[in-house]
Amino acid sequence: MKLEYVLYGFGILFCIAGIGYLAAEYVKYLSELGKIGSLLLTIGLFSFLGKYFEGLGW
Amino acid sequence: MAVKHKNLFLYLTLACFVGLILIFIFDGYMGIYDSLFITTGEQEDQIKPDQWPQRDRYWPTSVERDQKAFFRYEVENRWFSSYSADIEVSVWREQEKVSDLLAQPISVASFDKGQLEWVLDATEFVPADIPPEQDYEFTMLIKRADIERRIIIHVRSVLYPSKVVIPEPPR
Repeated sequence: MKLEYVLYGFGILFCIAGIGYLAAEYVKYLSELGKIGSLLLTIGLFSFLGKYFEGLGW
Repeated sequence: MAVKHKNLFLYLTLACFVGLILIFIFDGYMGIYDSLFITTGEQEDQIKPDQWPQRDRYWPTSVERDQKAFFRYEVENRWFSSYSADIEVSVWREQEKVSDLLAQPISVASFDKGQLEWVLDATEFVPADIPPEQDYEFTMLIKRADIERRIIIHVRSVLYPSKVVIPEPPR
């Protein structure tokens, strides 16, 4: 069970690092529509992730 | 049921992540991007693709009156098909075209770069009646399909005129 959480932790870190890298590199090229889309998806991503961990009993 | 519900949020999280990646790839990376390299004297400046929207109307650069400015216009095609367009470069002053500098088609293969180069001799565009100590400005317009890039060329005055050689008096 503890190993699972460690893997989840790595997964989340990689996700955040990946999005951070893409955001730093390409957010300046995004259109206004792309920026608002990315913002909504980021909010959705962390909301669903929160709900997922809530379901796990965190 | 609880397990399915738990996984549903995980799948939705993954869907948002995939959506973000797709937006960054198709809206952020893919497309046609242009850069301009300006060399005056020993200095090279670059106007990067993301810098064009920072100034909606024009970009300034300066050159000394007796200098030449070297331009390199680079078009990067980050798309699956090749890209072709006509590039027109002209000099304008007070909304009137002064001269055409370049009119040439460009064709760039998929995920490749194409470039055009030209030279602008500042002395050619400064009227003879402008005194050497007075600055002068004109606009260089780069037109690619329906996209226009405006560069304001500021021609700096010659502050120190060339040294006058006084002939040695006869002995």
